[in-house]
Amino acid sequence: MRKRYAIPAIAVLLLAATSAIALASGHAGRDARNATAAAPVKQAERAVEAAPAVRFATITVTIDPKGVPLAAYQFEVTAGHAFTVVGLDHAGHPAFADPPRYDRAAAADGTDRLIVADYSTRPAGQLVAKPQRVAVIHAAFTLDAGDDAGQLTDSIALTLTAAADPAGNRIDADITYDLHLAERPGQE
Amino acid sequence: MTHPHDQHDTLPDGLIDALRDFDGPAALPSVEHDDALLAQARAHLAEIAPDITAHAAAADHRRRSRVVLGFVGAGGAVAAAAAVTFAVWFGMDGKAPAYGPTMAEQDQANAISDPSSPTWGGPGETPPPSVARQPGPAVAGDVDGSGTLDILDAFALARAVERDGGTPTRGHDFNGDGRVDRQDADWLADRAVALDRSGGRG
Repeated sequence: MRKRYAIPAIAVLLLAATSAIALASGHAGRDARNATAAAPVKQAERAVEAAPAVRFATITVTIDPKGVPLAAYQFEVTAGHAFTVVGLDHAGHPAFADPPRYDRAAAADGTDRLIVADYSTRPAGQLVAKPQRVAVIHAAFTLDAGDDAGQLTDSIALTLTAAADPAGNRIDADITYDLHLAERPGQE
Repeated sequence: MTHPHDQHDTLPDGLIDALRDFDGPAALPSVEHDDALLAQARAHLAEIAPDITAHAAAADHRRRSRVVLGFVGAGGAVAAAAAVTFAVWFGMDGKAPAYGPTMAEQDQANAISDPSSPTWGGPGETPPPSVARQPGPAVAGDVDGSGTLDILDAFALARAVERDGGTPTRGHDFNGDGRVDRQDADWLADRAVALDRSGGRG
């Protein structure tokens, strides 16, 4: 009688032991696989629930040359969201009467970074040595569903990569910007 | 008084022989004889009590089934255990269990920690001396010799053009029109802000 049930009993114990080991070691890995498999589905669901929104904004850029006449500058705009440049105004000062230079083709197609630069060969007496507005960027940002204005604001960063005096010497300068978001998408 | 039978002093010979063989080795029946006798008994039992015969047959069948099922169950359990083990250890898209880093993660960690690895370059990592910035090939359009192409190169060329009045300068005819003028400075400025150029900034 005991011999008759010995083999099934041993088999059941073996199955139980291997199952326990498998569950203990593979539980997290199985969850990760499930999460990975579910990720595209969740992305698709999010895409269906809400289409990307467009948010218009203006970025007014100011450079402080700290008392040195500013003859040339270059800065870079980076954003965590794709954007297109609708327009870019000049500073308004006679020394920089023309709009700054930027990659118009890339900016029109959509990008997440932009390089803006300009120079003036005017003499030092005709240049500005105090904080001055150098550019106003009009851009349309593409926001992911669920992103708000705060996230857009936090994702934008400006970096001054070059600034020079009339002699072409690199100078220490500060760059600041003011971001103005349109109240509603498509409306200023 | 004596009974007439008591008058015999000897036993019959047949009885004497039988008594002599009583303590001798018994003659065992053969296996064939046993089987034949068992079959005959069963046939006789089936005739006189068919219910008892059917019950006995069913009991015998159940006993055999239990034995077979025992072996089948044992084999199935072992197969299931093996299947579960394979599913856990080898069925996770080639990835190791979650309690340790994957091979790719380990390779990446080794690459970052290995200064000689060509894949070095994690964000926020301080470049080791062996891969720190080294003088590279000359950047096209690097007029001011800063090592990068930016707006200051265009500015330097524009100042030179205004100072020299458009005198050709070797190597500064960037637009290839045969002369060095403000258009070459404009060409450099456009290159400085281009997002898709190779080399230099941007």
